[in-house]
Amino acid sequence: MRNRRDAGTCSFLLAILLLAAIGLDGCSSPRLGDDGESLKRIVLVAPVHAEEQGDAMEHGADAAAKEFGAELDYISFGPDEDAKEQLEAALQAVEGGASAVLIDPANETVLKELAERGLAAGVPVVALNEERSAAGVMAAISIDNEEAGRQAGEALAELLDGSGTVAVLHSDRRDPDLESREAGAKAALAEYAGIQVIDGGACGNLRDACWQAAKVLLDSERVNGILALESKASLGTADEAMRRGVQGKLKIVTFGSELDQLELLQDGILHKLVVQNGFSTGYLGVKQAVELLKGAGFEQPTVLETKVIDADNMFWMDNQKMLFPFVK
Amino acid sequence: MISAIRRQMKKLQAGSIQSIIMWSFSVFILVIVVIVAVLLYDKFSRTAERNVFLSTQQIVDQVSFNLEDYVDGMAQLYRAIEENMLVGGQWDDPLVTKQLDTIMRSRDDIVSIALFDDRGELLRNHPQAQVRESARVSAQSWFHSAMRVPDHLSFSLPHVQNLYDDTYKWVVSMSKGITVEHNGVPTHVVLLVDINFKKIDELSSRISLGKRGYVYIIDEGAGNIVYHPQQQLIYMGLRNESVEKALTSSDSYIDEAEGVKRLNTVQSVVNIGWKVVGVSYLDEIMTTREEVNRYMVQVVALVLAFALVVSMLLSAMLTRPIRRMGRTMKAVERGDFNVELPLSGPLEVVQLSSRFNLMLDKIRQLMKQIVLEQESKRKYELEALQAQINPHFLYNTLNSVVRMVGMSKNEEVITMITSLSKLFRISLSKGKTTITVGEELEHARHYLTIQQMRFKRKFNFAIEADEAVLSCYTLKLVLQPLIENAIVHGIEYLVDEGHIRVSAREREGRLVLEVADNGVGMPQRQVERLLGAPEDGVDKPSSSGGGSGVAVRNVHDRIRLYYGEPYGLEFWSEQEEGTTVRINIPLIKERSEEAREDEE
Repeated sequence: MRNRRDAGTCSFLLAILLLAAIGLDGCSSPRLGDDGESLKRIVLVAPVHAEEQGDAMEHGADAAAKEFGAELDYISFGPDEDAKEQLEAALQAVEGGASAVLIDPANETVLKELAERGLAAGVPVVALNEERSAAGVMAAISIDNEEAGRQAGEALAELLDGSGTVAVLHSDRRDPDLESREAGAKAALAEYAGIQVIDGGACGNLRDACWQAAKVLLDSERVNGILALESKASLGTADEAMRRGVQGKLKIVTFGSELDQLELLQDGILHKLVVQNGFSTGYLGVKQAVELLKGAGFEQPTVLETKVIDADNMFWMDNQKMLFPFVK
Repeated sequence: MISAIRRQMKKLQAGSIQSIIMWSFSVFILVIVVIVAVLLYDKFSRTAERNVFLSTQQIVDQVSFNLEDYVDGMAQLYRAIEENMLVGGQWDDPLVTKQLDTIMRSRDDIVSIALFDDRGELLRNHPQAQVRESARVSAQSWFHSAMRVPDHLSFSLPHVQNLYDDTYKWVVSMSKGITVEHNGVPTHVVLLVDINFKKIDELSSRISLGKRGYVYIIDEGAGNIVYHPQQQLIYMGLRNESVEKALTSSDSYIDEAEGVKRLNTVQSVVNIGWKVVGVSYLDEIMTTREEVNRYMVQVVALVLAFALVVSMLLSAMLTRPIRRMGRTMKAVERGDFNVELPLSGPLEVVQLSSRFNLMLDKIRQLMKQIVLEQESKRKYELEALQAQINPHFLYNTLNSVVRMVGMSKNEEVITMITSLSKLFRISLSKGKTTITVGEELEHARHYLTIQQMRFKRKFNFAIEADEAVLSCYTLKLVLQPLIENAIVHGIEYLVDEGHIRVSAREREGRLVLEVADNGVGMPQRQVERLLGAPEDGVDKPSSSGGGSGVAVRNVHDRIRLYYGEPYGLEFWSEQEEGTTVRINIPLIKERSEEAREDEE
């Protein structure tokens, strides 16, 4: 009778041990995998009208995501899509359960609204290429547009040997970034007594429209150098220079690193490009987002350097990797 | 529940067998488990580390082999192109174009084939494309290396090919300076074959070592980065790679980046002069180690908990019989000797229990023996008492005889002496404790006869008995003290003639002997005192033999001692009326065993 009871106790204990062992095994083995829960979904909302720059950003963000163990969603836009679509897509990403949102906002409203929504939902928002901030923007990666403008102005002044007429080709939309560039450039040019700066008109985001604007400008004024604040403006200007047969003589300095611009740079029609590193922007954006998700507080905006590229240095090792990020 | 735990805790006081068993068992298991866990952990972590070293080495070797293979293949292809294109110096031949076409179609990673003269002028290319005016061929590095060392195939670093319009492709340029006969004139030419860098890029980027580890390639000559997954970050200064160390090393080494130790494994790709470097993060091994550690701790904790429970139960199980024994002993201590330990459980406990039971048995026997001895001792004392013949009585009787002789009353002297002699004979009755009722009555008669003569016939007496009870047995000399009492206290002070009646009969299964007198009687207080607890001073037998309750009390005690509690004397007394004493004893038809023994 007693023996039977002891045997019963023993088998009961064995059963408990077995169950515990199974439980231990079961609860520990997924931990050995370890990434099930820690995978963060970071959404990168590309700039509108971004082209190569956006791709470079994605490339960098991808590298960072791989390094820091996050999942990256890249939202890009067609050429006819604008701020409205960007905001919609970004808000959708917040609703869709993104851990963090990186955005190169089309304008201040987009950033403001997204930041507001992100703050409410507890999703950190990282602003890329945007100097202005809004409540809820936890980190920012940008370039110093004024410094970039100054670099462009310096480069142009050098090309003109310190004397001549410089026209500034504006954008037809109001963008504080572009205004900073212009201010920087004008400040740099103002240091050269021989250089006279005139308004070169404005054009939108179409190459042909900018060509027309350049034509109007060159028809009416005698200019030695043109500072194009946007890439499309530089392309239009280059087209007009070639049409007039003044390529090389008309010094053109501009911003951006689009493939067309690079070809024109190599061929000597564009003279200098002030380039920002999109890869770094994307990489650092994701890195900061990961840090924010780990619990870091608000970060001071990170300011990236811009580089002046010309036909001579564009194929240097470090520059060509920046200008041609993709191995095709 | 709480009280149960508290009870358990109380049982586990230091020093108890249960706690010793429990703790030693637990500690033993814990030590074993910890030792095993530590050994396993050590073995595991070392194996894990070695595996990482080994697998990194293998992967890097594989990458470099693949690369070498690929480069070899490309070099062969280059030779094939060279032979097809330059044999005979007729590179414009349509046949050459056809053959180049075949080669190009068979390999999708050849971007372009071009032939330049020693000033950098294009002689022909395939596929045919316009060379940019701005492309300075003679300034290109591949052109330089081909011109510097003629007849040596050199591989350039990956670069963007900027010779043609509308395309900027990442290529590795194979170039060689060759002297050929062209239209009878020896001409220096440079043959350039661009291979798409995509293949090498893919080959390298696909490799991952652990979760974060990667592979990068450097140029052995200058330490330029050929491929790095984060090349841009390095150029931007956002990241460092210790290329110098990789350049000088030919095996593996450990460096530290951002506070994390990394294992770098280097392998040269000889035919192209590159080095493949594999980078593994050692903290990933640590993470695995920590996971194993955590797991081990869990296992140890679980095993410990289990061992505690098991040892608790085991110790409780083992000490249960001991505790039971303790309880039984406590019961014995309290005086309950009628307990017995069950003979079950482990062998030692069974042995101990049976010893205990034997011991208890012995104690019980000894106690019984003591009781018996005490009883018989008392009995012997009483027998000695009962054997006492009051010397006073003898003296008085003999005095009476002398007086009677003096008065020449020979008849009476004879009766008296006869009675006295019979009295003594029955008194002795061969030392037996019990005699028949008939003999007892005979004894009483002789005693009464003597006393009657002594007291000058102051009283008369009668003896009545049922025929049936005469042969029954009774304790001897129980009537005589009662009769003496009746005479001395009842009759002696009586003015009238006294009467004593002795009777023996059976009543309700008992033998009842009665001595009744019509004497002065006793007050109730005195009756109670007769059988009550003996008082000081009363206990002592008086020398006169009269006026004492001791003899009567002796009778009562003897009866009770011999027959047991329910038997003994009863008194009825009324002053000036008389006293009746009744003896109750069991009706015994045969002589008892003991009595018979006494007889022998």
